[in-house]
Amino acid sequence: MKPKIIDNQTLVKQILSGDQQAFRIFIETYQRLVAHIVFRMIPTTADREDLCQDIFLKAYQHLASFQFESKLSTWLGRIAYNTCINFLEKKRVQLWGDLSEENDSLDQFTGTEIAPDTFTEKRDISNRLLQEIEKLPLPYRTILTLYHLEEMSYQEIGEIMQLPEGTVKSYLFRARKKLKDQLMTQYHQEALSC
Amino acid sequence: MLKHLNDYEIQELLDKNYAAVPAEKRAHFDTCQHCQQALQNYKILSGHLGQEKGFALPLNFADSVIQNIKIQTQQEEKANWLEISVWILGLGGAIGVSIYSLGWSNVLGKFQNYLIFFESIIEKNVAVFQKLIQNLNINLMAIGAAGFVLIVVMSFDYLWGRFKRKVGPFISGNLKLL
Repeated sequence: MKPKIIDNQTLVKQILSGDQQAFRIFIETYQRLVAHIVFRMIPTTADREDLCQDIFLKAYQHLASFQFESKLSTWLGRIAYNTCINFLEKKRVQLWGDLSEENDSLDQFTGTEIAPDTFTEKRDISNRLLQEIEKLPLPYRTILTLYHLEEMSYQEIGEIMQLPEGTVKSYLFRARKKLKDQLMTQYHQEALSC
Repeated sequence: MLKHLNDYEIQELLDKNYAAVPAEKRAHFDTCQHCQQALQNYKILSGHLGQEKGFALPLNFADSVIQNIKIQTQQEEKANWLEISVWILGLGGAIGVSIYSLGWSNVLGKFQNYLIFFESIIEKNVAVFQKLIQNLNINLMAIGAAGFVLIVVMSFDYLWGRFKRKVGPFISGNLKLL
């Protein structure tokens, strides 16, 4: 069932007045965003759904303090991001990984390209892409998801991750370059072994 | 011959931020197969990133969130009642044990003594305070009014804070938090 379209101010007002149906609409509208953030950041399948529940519970408890200074999606995204960071910190997972620019400069010539047809022909590109995304540092993965799946702007992503817009853009470009280079390398190797 | 576009510039074109790429580089791009191929590969990558299936939560996710909030609220309410009950029991027990060990008349006598003692302290302090006020020539009514206003403002602020934090009960589910 598709959630009803209500403007966010009315929705929040209704939730605060105790309307259960309004809260259900809120969950159904934003569960995709929350799932994207949680599933991308949390590696353990067993913890993901619990964390999503936790995020909506926190949102419910703090909704009265939401001042509409940002979008509701950005506010909720920030709760989701911070909840995941806290969870990972407790589990002592390395959060930032290797973000050094070594071998990752964007100012260089684009390097050897393979023909787009060859690139597209590879049917398993989606699976490989997923594997490669998982290897990226956490901020890169999160930014890729928010930008490409949620179609958020640099500013919105920056608000969620508490990063300057320039940093968001730089991480996004480097993440895409890394992905493209990894996939290209794999295809070159395959072409050579054929 | 002009150098190829670098990765940064190719990605600016991918995001349709054309102004970020110098005009001569854009002119080069129009004629350079290598740069066009590089952009095309990024477009394919971007397409796959955008089409990623994403992650789905169970269909009844909203129901389970609401259910969990209800359960948690009930537990919090129970915990609150338990806490209040323990306090009342503790206080009642302490008073009961004191009365039992000291004897009722003894307690009453001691209580009266304490009352007299406190009354004398208050009387002394009031007298000192009155003398002080007289010396300073301060209007007691003005102080009282100011105190009253302060108490009203503080009470209003406290109640407003509570009201703002409170999330109302769900109409159909009798659900409330905080």
